[in-house]
Amino acid sequence: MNFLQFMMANRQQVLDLTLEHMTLAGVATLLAALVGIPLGILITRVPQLSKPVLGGANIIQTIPSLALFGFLLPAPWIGERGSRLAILALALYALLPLIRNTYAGIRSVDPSVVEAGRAMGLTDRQLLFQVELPLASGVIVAGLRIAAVLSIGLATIAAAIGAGGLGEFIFRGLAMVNNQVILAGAVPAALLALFADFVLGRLERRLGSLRVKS
Amino acid sequence: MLSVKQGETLVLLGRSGSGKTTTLKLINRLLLPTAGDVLVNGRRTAEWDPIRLRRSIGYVIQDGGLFPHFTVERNIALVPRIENWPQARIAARVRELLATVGLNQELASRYPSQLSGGQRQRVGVARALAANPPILILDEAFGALDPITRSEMQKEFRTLQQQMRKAVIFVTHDLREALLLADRIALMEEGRLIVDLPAADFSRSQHPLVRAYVEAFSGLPDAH
Repeated sequence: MNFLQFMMANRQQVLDLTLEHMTLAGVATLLAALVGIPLGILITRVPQLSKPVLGGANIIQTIPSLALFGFLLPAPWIGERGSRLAILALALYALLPLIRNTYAGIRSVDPSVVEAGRAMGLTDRQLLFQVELPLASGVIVAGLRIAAVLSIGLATIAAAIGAGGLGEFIFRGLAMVNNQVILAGAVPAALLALFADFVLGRLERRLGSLRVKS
Repeated sequence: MLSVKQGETLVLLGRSGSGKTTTLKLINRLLLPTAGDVLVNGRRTAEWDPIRLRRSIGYVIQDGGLFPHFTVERNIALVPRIENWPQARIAARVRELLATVGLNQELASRYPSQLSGGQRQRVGVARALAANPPILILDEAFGALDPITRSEMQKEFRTLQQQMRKAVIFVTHDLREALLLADRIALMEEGRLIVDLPAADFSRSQHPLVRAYVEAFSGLPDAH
């Protein structure tokens, strides 16, 4: 049977694994955003930190994903559950695009607009939330989009450490040398990634038009 | 030493790089002096709370410096909003200011990108006036406008100032604009104050730099 028939026959499992996959990637992206966006804001305020922070996130990204999973295995609490480890590793990978895009987005806001705001007596906080972040939001969401698509792709490897997700089918199919099983994992994962890319891309364009109003 | 009184318009005149904009930024503490003092209402700018100082000074720059993601109304209402004025008072003030600067009320919901240069500049002035600050500083505010709009704006501003009697410091490199708007003109060159004269006396001055300036604009009436 072709992979569509296989998926129909095992649709409950496909659904479970897809949900698992979305959770892994979703929580990881969210964590990365909660840490990465504030970090990105911080390094626009403290320029001396920009090199080490961006450099650090860059180094994390260059570590091969399976190796990162391996490094984290011995860690207490994290290494005990496959899903925890996977989420942490995915979140670490998703940090760089979020930090970098937040940083770049804020720095690309027209400096004369920021100066006008400062000259009128906006506090630093008001400048950040009313001017810089809104105008940088398009670029920040672009970073979120990259992070999400990255996470969805990398989450396929999570199955290697027992964290579940659509990688289960892929690895099983590879072991069984059965293409239908592989596709039953790969195709939904690819569709998820495309969907996330599409939705966040729409949001990115919507927000990006805010700054074009100048 | 340079000073401006309430009700007076001082024009800082000079070529690019003469230090006019720097002087303005010393007034609203975007810059702090490295030597000497800048006093606003008798108090050194370094002693003022920068936020309170800036909210009591209206600032107008070329092309308005408007927030592109705010409507005209939100742009004008900026300082009143952060000063927590009641909503009704803000709305009334915005309506009043649109009328004062000669803009149609229906422009309130437009975005700056949908306005012409002259309209944007008017919104910039309205925004600076919103919280009724006693001091107004303008940096080449009409420089980006076409000659006809510019002339309109200059005349309207002069009328406005005659009513409002604010302490105005206006930066320009255009002598005609200076003569039209100023009570006093301060000529600057390379960061130094060259002369500080009543506008009516400026063109008659024999100082070589003043003469050079006047000749560059020769053929103009020195009416006021």
